[in-house]
Amino acid sequence: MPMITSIAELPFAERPVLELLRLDDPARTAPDLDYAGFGHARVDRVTLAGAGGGEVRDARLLALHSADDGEALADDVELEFVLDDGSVAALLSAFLARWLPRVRGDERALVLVMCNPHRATLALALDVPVYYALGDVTSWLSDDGELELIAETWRKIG
Amino acid sequence: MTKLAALFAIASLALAGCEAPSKERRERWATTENTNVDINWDKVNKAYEQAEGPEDFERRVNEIYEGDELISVAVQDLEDGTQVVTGFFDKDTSGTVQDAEKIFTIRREITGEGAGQYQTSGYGHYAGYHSPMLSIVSGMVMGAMLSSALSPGYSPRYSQPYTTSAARHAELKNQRTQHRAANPTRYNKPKPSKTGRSYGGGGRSGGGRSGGRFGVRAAPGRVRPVRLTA
Repeated sequence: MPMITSIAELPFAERPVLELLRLDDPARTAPDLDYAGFGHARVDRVTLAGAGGGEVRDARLLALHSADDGEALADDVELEFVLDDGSVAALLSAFLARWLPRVRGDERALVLVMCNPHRATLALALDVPVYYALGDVTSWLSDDGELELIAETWRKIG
Repeated sequence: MTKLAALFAIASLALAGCEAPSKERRERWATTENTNVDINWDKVNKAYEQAEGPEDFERRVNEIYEGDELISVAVQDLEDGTQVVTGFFDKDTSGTVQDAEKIFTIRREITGEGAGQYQTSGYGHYAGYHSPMLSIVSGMVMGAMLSSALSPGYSPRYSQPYTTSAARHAELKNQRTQHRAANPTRYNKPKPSKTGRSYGGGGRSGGGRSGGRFGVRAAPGRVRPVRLTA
């Protein structure tokens, strides 16, 4: 049973972006389907590959994991945090309400690096654009150092 | 041999008007027959979508192009709201587009309030490439070169065409040299194959490395974790 009992206690830390997105293995050619790391990082540039995507500059990436078998919600996503002593779940809305004030800086955009298996439509009122995907999200680093997040479809709020 | 290749390219261009689109024409990579220099058309199209202006676009295009030549750009707004962007090898440094120097054109049209479309076509060695008609709508991530055309008060800026000046060539070459020096793995490796990279399925082929997936798989019989609410 995890010792963590509140969203505020989650170890949601800033991490080096390659480690955060599981891009730290040069030999990896297919997505790590069991990757469970989470946290946030600021990047100068990231490409959202997929319909509705494009290049986003000066963005904070919030790497999160949704549960494939989580509750299907029209406007929210059930997240899962795999910890050393077990897993806990939280709704994205509750998580962001608690953590956005802590992690926000003066970046110009936020990107939710998170699968959205039930294709929830999110509504957030922030002072910067927020990007999120419909369906699966995986990460990719091209040979020329271009950071890409791949999804079927990207949506922008704001 | 060069004349033969040129005749072949011209013949291909002539046939393009009466043939159904072939798989080859939809290929996103094109390879020159003589120099084996690739142009990644996906990146060219993306560069157009994200460019802040002609200078930014020509910088991006020259970073995409992996050959030694410099690509010049001409941008012209026509009276009907159409914009034609031409990439060309300005071999005679005249600052004007000669048909034989053309590499590609991008033709952008405004189709309604806050909406438009564009299509990219290759010329010369790249004559096999024709992009689909690509939609542009307000809300897409795009640079000022495109987004300004969708704004209500838009007035064309390039009725007098913009063309890369000979004086700008040195600056572009310098920028590209710095870019290539900063990305040695891209420019010091065997050229990518004509088949390009595949998208979808959660991964890609081609140069680069894969990362993680951002979901937790549902294993049979697993107990869902406790949901924290505060």
